Amino acid sequence: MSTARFKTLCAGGLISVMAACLIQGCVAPLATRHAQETVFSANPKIAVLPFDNYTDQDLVSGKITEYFQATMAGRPKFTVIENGTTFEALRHLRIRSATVLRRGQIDSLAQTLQADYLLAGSVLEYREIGDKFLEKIPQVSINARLIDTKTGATVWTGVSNDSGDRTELLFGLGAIKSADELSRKMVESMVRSIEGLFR
Amino acid sequence: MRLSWLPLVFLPVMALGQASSVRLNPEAANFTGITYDNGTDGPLKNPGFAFFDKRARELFVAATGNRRIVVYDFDLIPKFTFQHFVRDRKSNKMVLGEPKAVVVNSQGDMLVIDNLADYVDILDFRGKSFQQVYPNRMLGDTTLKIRADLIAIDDSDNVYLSVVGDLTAVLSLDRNMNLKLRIIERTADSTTSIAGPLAMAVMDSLLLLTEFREAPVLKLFDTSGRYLGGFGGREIAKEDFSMAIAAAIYRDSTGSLSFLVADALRQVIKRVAVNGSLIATFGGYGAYPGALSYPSGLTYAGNSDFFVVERVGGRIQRFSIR
Repeated sequence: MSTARFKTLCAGGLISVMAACLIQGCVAPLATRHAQETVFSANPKIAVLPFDNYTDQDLVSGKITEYFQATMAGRPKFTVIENGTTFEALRHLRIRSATVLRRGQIDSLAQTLQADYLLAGSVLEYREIGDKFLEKIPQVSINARLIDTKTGATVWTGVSNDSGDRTELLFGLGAIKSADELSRKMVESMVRSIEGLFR
Repeated sequence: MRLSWLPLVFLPVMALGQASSVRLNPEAANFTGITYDNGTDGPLKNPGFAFFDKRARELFVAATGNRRIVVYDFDLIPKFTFQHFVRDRKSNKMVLGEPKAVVVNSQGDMLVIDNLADYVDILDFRGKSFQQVYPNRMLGDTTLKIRADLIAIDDSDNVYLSVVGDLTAVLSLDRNMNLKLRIIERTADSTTSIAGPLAMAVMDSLLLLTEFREAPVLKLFDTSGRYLGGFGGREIAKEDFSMAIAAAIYRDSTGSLSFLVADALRQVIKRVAVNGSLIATFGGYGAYPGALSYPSGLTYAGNSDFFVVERVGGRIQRFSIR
């Protein structure tokens, strides 16, 4: 093998590895599970409940809820109930946290909002840690679950943990430097997965 | 000399007799529930105030030592809890507060007074602050050094706010927290005005205030600030009070009103008729269910039920009046 051909092969290999890394890095790591036997209704109405905040930062859960609301509102396969309507229903029923939802509360919410599904969840981690090269590395962890209001069962769960440096190729190239941007990508990935349920 | 051991025998017996005389009187009230739970990480510490929201049947407790507000259902099972943050005047940063009192309006919004803030913090039903009401700004004089001290709310969402500092007064506010009237103000005649209120309760058109040092201890006004009468001295009679730390207005099944007053030093709850006569006394110092260990909050829960919060006992008890 000539030296020129060897160099071409090496360069090609390197490009392939970099491309594979880039493709892998674009998709946020997301573990999902959904009930196999469940029949998902067409064009359902989904209410996004305020996410619970388990981090030590204020307003984080509000941001994530807002990202879900905004991302889902743009998808044609379901109708998202307006935030204010959901807030009023929660206030009327004095439901302050969606971590533990009793059957009676699910029924009351479904009746008030005329919702087919409720999306609830929590933010477990949302921080930006210091780094010598990247300055900041965001780390975000979100859990979400979709509840069928007819049965009260959880029909889909998504667990997403991600770090901004996971997508880094070399010397900070490709890294995500803000927790807001990272969480938006994670939410988009989760919404895509939910959208896949309603074919 | 041989008889020197006698007091050792008789003193505990006498103390027991004294305690039993004010123990929970089954003819007056039944003990029906208890909790020590702060809803998150352990026991209640220094709880100071209780408010029962009759619409949602929820009990709100300002757990001052835990620096949080805790919401319980009627059976004293914690439903929700959150830490209360206030704006620090010096650094202008949000710091962990020490909630002193909380009342709830018909929308579920919480009106919170904090030991570390001079304003009334208004929070939505999930505990998110959205408005701060400064009493001096409301009175149109920002040079006044006053802070919110006591708060009460009626069924129509009218708020009664007592302020202390440069001015000792009770303010009447509408449901949007706008000042309606300065209804009661400290004057030279401390008998028919207020000197240093310790507790406040409102029902219908009646406003009940308890005094810290002055007599009469219980003072009754109408909601426009007109003095209706006072009763209870500072002596040792059964009708008198030592420290009337909390009060509630109670309506029985016939519709007649009476007052429930927690005395923090005598460790009792007294039920007083509207003419000032003592109906019943119950409680007594102790840690057993039905006894009291420095009561600090009292709220009427409708029907015949009421809740008592104990500062040293670190617990909430529910009673039912017979």
